[in-house]
Amino acid sequence: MSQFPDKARIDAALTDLGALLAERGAHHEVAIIGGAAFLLNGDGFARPTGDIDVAAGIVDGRISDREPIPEALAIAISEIGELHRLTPGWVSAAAANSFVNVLPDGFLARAHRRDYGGLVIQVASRTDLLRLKLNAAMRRGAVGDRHRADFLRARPTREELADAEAWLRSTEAPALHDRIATVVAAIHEALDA
Amino acid sequence: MPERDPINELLWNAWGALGVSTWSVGEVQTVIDPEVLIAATATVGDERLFLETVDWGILHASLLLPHRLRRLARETDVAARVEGWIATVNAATADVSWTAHEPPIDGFVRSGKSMRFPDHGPHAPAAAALRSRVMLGPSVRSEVVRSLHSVAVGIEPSLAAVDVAWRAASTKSQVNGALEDLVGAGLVIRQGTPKRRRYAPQGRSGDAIASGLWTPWSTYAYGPWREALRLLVLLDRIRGLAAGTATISAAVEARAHFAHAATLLGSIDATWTTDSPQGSAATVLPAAAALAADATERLADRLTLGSRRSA
Repeated sequence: MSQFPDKARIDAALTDLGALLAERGAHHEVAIIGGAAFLLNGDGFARPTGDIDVAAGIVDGRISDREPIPEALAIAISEIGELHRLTPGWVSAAAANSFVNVLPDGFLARAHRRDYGGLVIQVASRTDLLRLKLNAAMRRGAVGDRHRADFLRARPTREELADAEAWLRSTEAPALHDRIATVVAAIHEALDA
Repeated sequence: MPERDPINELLWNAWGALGVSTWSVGEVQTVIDPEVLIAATATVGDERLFLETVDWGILHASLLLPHRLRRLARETDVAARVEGWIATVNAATADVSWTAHEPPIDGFVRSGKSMRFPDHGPHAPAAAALRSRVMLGPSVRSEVVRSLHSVAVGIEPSLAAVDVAWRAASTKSQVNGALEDLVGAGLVIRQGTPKRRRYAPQGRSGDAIASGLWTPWSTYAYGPWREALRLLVLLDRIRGLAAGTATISAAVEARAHFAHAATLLGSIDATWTTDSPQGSAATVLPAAAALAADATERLADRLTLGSRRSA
């Protein structure tokens, strides 16, 4: 369900979430990736998204491997979700399990900080979003196709594609490098078309 | 005349029908639950009305059930206030000897304006619960009988003991004892399986005792006062939140209260359907207040079944 058609809708929900946390004297900081991050970066990626993907919690300025959405934050997310009539998983930590160990080095330094009162969102940079999106596009089947389409929708330059490919090769086992080459070739082909 | 909020207008009207002096009386065509009305007034009523109900309580003390009142007051977190009410009434009349757990209300002065059974004609059912207690005595049994009002009048076919206990605000064991006595006397019929026992009034043709017991309850309109107690508290809280600072916490709380209230009101009034307010604090709070006002009007209509008239 694409309940976030644009940046304004995401901002409205996060603004209220941050205000609620602030009124309760709470403070949380998380890093987000995915479609919501593309929309918040406002760099031309216009696909509506259904949720805000939390990649990791941040504690003392560092990416934490603890539960990215602790209970107090989860309660506030649920309450704001009800207030804005959003689906229960409108802020999702499902991506955290997949990405917390593979976030590119320097992720936080490149991220764009957005302050929402009691909530700080570190929005992944375009560089890192493309890297992670290329990583996701490695999957086979419809899921990989969808991520590849997202990658193309972001209109990457050849340099950005090369950067994402280089990062992916540096993190994946050599056995997967052929698969990387195949995916990257398909993207080159689409960019040429 | 000061303008009253809809909840207090409802409370004043109900109290007026029971004998409290009031300048604005709407018709009340249902039977009023006195302890629920006291607990509701202690929770959401204005101070002047609360003090007037003490005056009324002194006149009607022998017909009231302090234990039941205490249980209801705990539900709405006004136990201490109601203990003060009980202590004040107890100290002012020799008609009862209640145990007081708190001192009487400081500086209370009787207004002396309340009346006893101001209108008890056949078309004025408001005081029927009190009048019934004159016959049966204020007891768990009187409340078990009254709890079956909705069945006697045909709103529902039967009640489980747990529902009777909830309406009577008594323990299940006390209620079971009273129900079994009534079944044994042929005044209540037991239905269902042993695990799903339900109860309904029994009035065999020609049974004068049963007829005398149930005819009033099959005649007078049922007002869901017991069901309304929690609802009144929620609606009042929404009103309070909307009148305060428009914070997002207040909006979240108001929305949650409204969702709860809408469920409760839906169980009382099947025609009530509305979505909870949504959006930012600036939009949710006024919307919740408007919806709560509408809900209060509907509830008041359902509780009293009477038309409102100006003073």
